[in-house]
Formats: sequence, C-alpha cells, structure tokens
Amino acid sequence: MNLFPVLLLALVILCLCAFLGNGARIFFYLAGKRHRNRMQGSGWADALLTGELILTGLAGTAHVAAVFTGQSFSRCVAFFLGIMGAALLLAAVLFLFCLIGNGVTRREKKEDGEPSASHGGIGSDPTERFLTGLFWILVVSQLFFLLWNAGVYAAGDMTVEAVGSFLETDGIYRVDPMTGRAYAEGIPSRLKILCLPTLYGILCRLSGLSPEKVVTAAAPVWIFVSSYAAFFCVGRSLFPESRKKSISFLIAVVIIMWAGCGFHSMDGFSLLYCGYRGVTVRNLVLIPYVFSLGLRKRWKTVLLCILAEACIVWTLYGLGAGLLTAAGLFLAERGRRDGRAS
Amino acid sequence: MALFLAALLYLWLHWKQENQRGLLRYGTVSALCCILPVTAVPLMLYQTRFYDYEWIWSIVPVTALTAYAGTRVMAEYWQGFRREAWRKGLPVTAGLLVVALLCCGWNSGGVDRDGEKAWKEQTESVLEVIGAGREEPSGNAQNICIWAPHRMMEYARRLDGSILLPYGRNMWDEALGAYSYDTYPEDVEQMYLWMSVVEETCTEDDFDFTEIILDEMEEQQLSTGECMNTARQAGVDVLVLPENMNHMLLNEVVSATGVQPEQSSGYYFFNLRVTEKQVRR
Repeated sequence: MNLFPVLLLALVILCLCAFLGNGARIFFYLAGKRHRNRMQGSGWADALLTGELILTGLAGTAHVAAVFTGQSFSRCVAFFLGIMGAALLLAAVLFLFCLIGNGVTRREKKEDGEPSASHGGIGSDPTERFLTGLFWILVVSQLFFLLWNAGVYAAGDMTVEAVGSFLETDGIYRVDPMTGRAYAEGIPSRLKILCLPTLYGILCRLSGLSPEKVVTAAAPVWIFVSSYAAFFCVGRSLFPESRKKSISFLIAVVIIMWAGCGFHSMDGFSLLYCGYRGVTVRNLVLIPYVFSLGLRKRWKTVLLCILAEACIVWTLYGLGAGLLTAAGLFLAERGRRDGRAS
Repeated sequence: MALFLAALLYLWLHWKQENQRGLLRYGTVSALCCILPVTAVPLMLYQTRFYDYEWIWSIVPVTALTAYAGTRVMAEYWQGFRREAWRKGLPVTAGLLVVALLCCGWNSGGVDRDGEKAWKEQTESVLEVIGAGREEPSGNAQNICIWAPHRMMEYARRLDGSILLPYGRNMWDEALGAYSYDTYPEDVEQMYLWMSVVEETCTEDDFDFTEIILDEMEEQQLSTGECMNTARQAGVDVLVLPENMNHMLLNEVVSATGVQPEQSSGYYFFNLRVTEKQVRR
C-alpha cells in the first residue's frame, strides 16, 4: 500500500483540527478575562483535541441534517464543506486578529523594556532530553507497527462497508452495507445518527482515496496521534510541577499500550488494530481528555466531549460513558475538596 | 488488568503522599462498580446492552492510573529522575519492564495479518476476472452480485462498493446482527450452509471428502440444486468456487446450473446471469 497519500491525509486532518482548535482558543481568549488564564495554560494538545471536538460536531451536524432531510451524500459533503469552510474562515480571522494584537503587545512591551515570555520547549536538562527522545522512539516504533504490521480487526464492525455504500449509492444508509442491497426492515435509528462513517466518507470523497485506505490506514494514524495528545494532557494535569514526570508518564502509557496490544478490548489492542472505531475514539481520546479536563476543573469543555461522544458512539440515548466518567470524577474531586475543607 | 490492580494497591498504600486522591478514589470506585455484579448490571443497562460487558470498563482509567502508578514508582526510586540514583532506580526500572513484558499478550488478539493479506490479494484478482468496477454506459459502476467463499465475499464488499452479495458478513459475524433489523430467509441461510460445506471440504491433498459431505448435507438437509435456484432468485450473477473443492459437489453444481465454469486464479467462475438470459431466449 502506498502510504504517502494516507499519511498526508492524516497530517492534513491533524493540521486542520489544530487550526480550528487554536481558533477556538483565541475566541475564548477574546470572549473574556475569565478564559485568559485557560488560554495561557493550554498547549498544542489542547488545541488539537478541541479542534477534533469541533470537527466531530460539524460532521455530526452535516450527517444528522442529511439523514433527517433525506439528502444525498453529495449534498451532505457540500453542506459539511460549507460549515467547515465557515469555521476555518472564522478561525483565520481570529488568528489574524490575534497576530495583530500580539504585534501591538510585543511592541508595547519592547517600548516598556519588559522581557518577552519564553515558552517551554524541550528543557536543557539531559535527563529530560533523554526521556523525551525515548518517548519519541517508542511512539514512532508504534506508529511503524501500526502502518506496516498491525493489520485490522474488523470483526463486529462494518465501517468500511458503510462508507463504501455511502459513496456507491450517494446516500446515507440507503442500502445494507453488508450486502449492498436495499433494506427490508431498516437500521436502528441509534446507529443511523452516528456520524463517523459519514466523516470518513467525506474524507474519501475529498481525498479520492478508497474507503479501505481512509478507514483502516489514515483514520487510525489520526486517532493514534490524538490519543497520545489526550494522554499528554493527562500527564500534564497529573504532574503539573514536573516535565520529567509527565514525559515518564507518557513513556509508561506507550509501554502499557504495547503490553495490551495482544488482548482484545485492551486500550493497546484498540489503538493498534481498530483505531478507526467510535469506541476507540471514545476510550482513547475523549475519556482521557475528560480526565485531563476534570483534573484541571475545566468542566465546560467536558460538555463538548460528551456531545462529541453522542455523535460517534450511542450509549443510553447519547449520555454516554463520558458523562458517567465526568460525573464520577466531579464527585470524587468534590469529596476531596470537602475533605480538605473539613 | 493485573497491572492495574497492582497499581491501585500501590497508590492506596501510599495514600498519604498522594496528590491525585480524587482520581484514585474515582478509579477505585469505578473499577469496583465494574467488578461487582450488583453494580455491573446497572452499568450494562446504562450502555443499553448493545455493547458487551468488557465495554463498561471504558469508564475506568485503567491505562492512565497504571501509568500514573508506574511513574510514581520510578520517580520515587530515581529520586525525582536524578542520574545519581541509578543504583536504586535501574533495578526497579528493569523490574517494572519485566513485569510489563510478562503481562504482554503475545498473540495478535485474533488478527491474522498474513491470512488477511492473502485473502485480499485473491479477492482483488477474482474481482479483476469478473470485471468488477467496470462502468455502465450511464457512467455508474456496474453492480455485480457474487456468491463466493465467505472471506472472499467479505473482502469483495470492502474493496468495491459496487459488488452485491446474496448475504453479508452479518450471517457469520453475530455481533453485526445488531446493526440491522433485517433477517435472512431460510433458503438464503441454506446457501450459506452449502458454501460452508464447500469451504470446509476443500483439500490440497487427495483426501476424498465425499462421504463426509453427503453426511453433512443430509444432516443439514441441503440440496445443491435448491441452493443454485435460490442463488438465481437472489440475483447472483457470478458464482465463485475454489479449484480444490470436492469434485462430486462441482459436478452437482454444473448439472444444476447448466453452466460450464471458467477457470482462473485458482477458482471456478460460473456466470449465472448469462445463462439466465440464454434460458429466457
């Protein structure tokens, strides 16, 4: 398989998500003082994950609109492109606004003689550099495994067939993806509203790649990066005081992923063999991000995660595992605060 | 899971130095909820029984808490990751790696990559032979309905959306049954059973499966003629059968369909559509 277009597509999606996420961060920054500290505390991982939540929301909107109005898949793609274009334009305007604003602030600071704030890159500490290098070696080796050796666990899943049938019939669930023939009884509406196959279908239509390549190669790479971004956020939240510890945490996560890749339904297995599935996105991107947000008390963004989960995995009428996790974490954190107060 | 429980135990034993007590409390309570049947049942109901038991563990931060405990142990023995602490840190790190290695699953969790690759390649060559993906004068891809060995049907549908099947992967992958309200008629199920018999009795050596096939077909009340009729009624255009199939069954197919098969890429191809048109004439 020629991996270049696959990797390029995954990279484009990640860049678009990061751009959207940064736009959202600037929006919150401009929205009011209350959000300014959050903007400063967030990094690239937060921007990427916020962008993915927005992308999921946009895909969900286009998908649900097409399903309930009986529109063709081509119209769904056009609608998605419209709202995505509007979101990107808004993000670009916000970026421009921020750039001009930053230029003015820097000039003012320079005139006042204030030193410019330095952002944390890889530290000068050799141990930290060693740990960072080790983490990257492990992650890249895992990515190589994912791309060249892992294979796909397709049992119990029909995403590739569903995407293929959307493209073939130019409609969403007009035929049974398993056989390509018209439904006699139909599909449960709980499945019909999930937007992930439509999102993959849109990517196929835009990139010209086959459903198999997009679903089983490009999407897992994208989810793989997002998953480590989510665990990066968890590490930063667990060890805000020490970069070395947060990198060690990430190294431990990679090792646990390797250890679990032979067991069905473990996180490592989901990441390396079925990275395109909705449950994988939920368990390895949304839920860890919910933990990270919960630990940072950013409960409003948790709502976005819960909504994104409702668009891709349907559990108890959309309430989902994210809500249960957030509620549990909220109660546990509250208990901790009450304990401290007493 | 063993690693996770060990991690929880370690974190509880070091409760006093714990900074993330909220996460630890949540992790412990959620894990207990998944283990105890009294609480696991409501959780199963919460996920509307659509997903299996294993998925209720989604709410438990297994990876995050295990990695957190691992980092705490490392930080403790490396004394905040100082190189000078290697006398204590290195053996502990090696020990943790050995434990992780022992907890590894060495199989690939049911993923047969080589088998997958082989089937995919075979399916691609078969689809090429039957001319899948060719465009009609209208510009749309021509729909061809094939009936073939099950893995081949699975890959044909994945590789080419214009391929139609008389029955899909949900016939043999039970979990997929939940994705549709549709069920298959009994005669289509007979087609599935017939093809299963063909696949089970394919042989590379000279072993004669005829007796076994006759027994199995009698036991399952299968008739090659009826299955071929059902295939025609279901709109099958091309029947694909492996070259190493039982000869008695092959002769039955030839006499039931009235078609002489073409042979290519290790398979017999029965063009049922052409014959049907010829019959109509």
